[in-house]
Amino acid sequence: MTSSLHPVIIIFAGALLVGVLKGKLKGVVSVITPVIGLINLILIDRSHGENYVMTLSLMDLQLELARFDKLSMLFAYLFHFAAIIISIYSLHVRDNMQRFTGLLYVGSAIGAVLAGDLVTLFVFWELLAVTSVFQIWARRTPNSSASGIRYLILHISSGLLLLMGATIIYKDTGSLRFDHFDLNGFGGVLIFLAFGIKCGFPFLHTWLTDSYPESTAAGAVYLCCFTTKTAVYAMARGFPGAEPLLYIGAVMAMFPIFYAVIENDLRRTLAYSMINQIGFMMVGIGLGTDLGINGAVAHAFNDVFFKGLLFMSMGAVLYRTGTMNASQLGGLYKTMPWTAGLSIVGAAAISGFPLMCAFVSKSMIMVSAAEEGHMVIWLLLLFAAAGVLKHAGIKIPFFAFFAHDSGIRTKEAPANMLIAMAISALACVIIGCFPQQTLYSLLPRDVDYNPYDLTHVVTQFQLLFFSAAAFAVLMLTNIYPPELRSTNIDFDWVWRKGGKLFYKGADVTLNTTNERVHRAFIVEFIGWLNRFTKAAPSRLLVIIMTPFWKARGLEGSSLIAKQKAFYEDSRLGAFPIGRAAIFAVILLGLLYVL
Amino acid sequence: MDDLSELPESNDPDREGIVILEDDGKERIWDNPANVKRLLKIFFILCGVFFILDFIFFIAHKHSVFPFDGWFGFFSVYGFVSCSLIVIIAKKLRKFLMRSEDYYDK
Repeated sequence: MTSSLHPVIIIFAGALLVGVLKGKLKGVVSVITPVIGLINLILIDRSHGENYVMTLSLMDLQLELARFDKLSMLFAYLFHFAAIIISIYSLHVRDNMQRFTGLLYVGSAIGAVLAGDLVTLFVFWELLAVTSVFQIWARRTPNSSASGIRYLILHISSGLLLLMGATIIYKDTGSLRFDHFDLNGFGGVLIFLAFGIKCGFPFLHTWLTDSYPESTAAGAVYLCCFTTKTAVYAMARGFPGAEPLLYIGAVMAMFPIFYAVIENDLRRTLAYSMINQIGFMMVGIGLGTDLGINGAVAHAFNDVFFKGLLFMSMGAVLYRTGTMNASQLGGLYKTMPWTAGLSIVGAAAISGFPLMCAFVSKSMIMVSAAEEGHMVIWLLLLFAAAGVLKHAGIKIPFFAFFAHDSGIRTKEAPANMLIAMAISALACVIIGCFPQQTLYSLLPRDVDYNPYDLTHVVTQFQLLFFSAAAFAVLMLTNIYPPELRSTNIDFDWVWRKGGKLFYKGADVTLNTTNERVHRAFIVEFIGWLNRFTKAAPSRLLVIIMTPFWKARGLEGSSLIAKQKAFYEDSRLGAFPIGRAAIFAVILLGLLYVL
Repeated sequence: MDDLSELPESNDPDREGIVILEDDGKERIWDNPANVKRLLKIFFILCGVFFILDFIFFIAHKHSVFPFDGWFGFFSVYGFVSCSLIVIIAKKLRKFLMRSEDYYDK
């Protein structure tokens, strides 16, 4: 059997069906749709082999609606897997807004990674922004509405930057192909920034930590699986070996750790952890070596499973208890043992314990950094790896399920959530144990890397156990900072408070200027002009007439009285007929002379 | 611990999943401090074992890329120091970064 059907068509058709159907069928279709999509993808892979392209001629543009090579295929597979898992996870959701837009979001992400030219990419890039925001708005709280708007502003800007970059590149090179871009050209820089916003570059990362905690339980899982992974794909396609990515990646791996430690909202902690993980991927892409690119892509692949699993477990806690504050949670292992267990698997996976998936992919990136001689970057990544264990590996399960007993007694998560989490957990372990048979066959470059050698396994255990020991010691000695209900200011202060300040500043300066100008010109100047035009002719007449009156012998107070009376008469235009006739004659005489 | 009863009203569709039950009075595994102590003991022993495992590299070959990562106990010390630093620096950062929960709503 062969197939030449664009994968996005299946997902969008499924989304429309989900939007129309009611009751249980809605859930069934939303799970079956990505399964059919996956079968279609396998058929395409089997029947056409590598480098198959679906094209469309639009006027004189040749668009590549879908390009199937190893890199895009890996992400297309990944997004289908993720869609199946999340559809199962959100089976209990009855809210149509989330179900319908969820599948549209999946379709947009698949379309974006398959896009072979910049126009197609731009269309799906914007669709991705618009369809994903409903995962935040579906929460229907004032905070989520505001957060969704901020999310949209950054993501639509990303799309516009992409469009600007694409236009410049088309003008310069005459090609719209989505391939390797040059950072020396202005167009390349714009596209780099566009991808950077979605990757969560430092200072542009605020949408991540802002929106994830405000989205619904299932929404955060959707967000963590698609948007950033699409961006990582785009970066790996467009800018492999770009040196700035090395340093940007290192910063991204480092700074969120500190925020994650003091953050009270556990899903925001995971959002910071997300930036930290993408930092690793950026370093891998920046290295540009086969091992580095493979590591980055493999890490993105694994991240969907382990970070997805952590977000799912926290989503389950939110769904059951209604809160995500570490200060309010604790002791949930008593009533949610399965969720707790699965969360620990996710935590072990993200920390990179041997036999878990991140152990394989993270070490690919680190080994590649070391081989290229980037000592400082390597040391920073090692520091960040210890930090991952601390803020994601220990903090998430510990504060939610153990720590101090909060007294909350609830029910185990719904069966569909547990099944979805179990599938992810299984994927983490299978990929970790058998990377050669599973992950490696999908990787874009040739792989010759075995993570399981004695030195690596032992040193990794040492790193992790002693990081955990530090946590234990700090906990026992009460040095560890307590979880407090709080907001930690991050760069989004600039948008949120700075935005308000800017608004206020603009309000004060512009409105005051406006008022002053209004008073000076409209009220004072016009009034003066009005008075001037009214009074000037009369005054002029008085000045002309005064010598005549003086000649007639008028002096002193009688002259002034005469002047006043004349002024009033001329201002009101009330001259006696004789005088008016004289003026008329003078005027006619003047006209005649002239 | 804060109270859960202060949750604000909202139309959040996930609210339908909230279940708050009474405590059933049963003692669970970590309610007993002796169990916690036992776990910690096992954990610290494992730490010691992994530290000492570095000795096998006197027999087996230890791969190292940089001069320092082959040093005895490098990864153990690095892990412990990094993690402590992270927590201590983060705690200090609270002074500059921490605001009240409704900071942005004001």
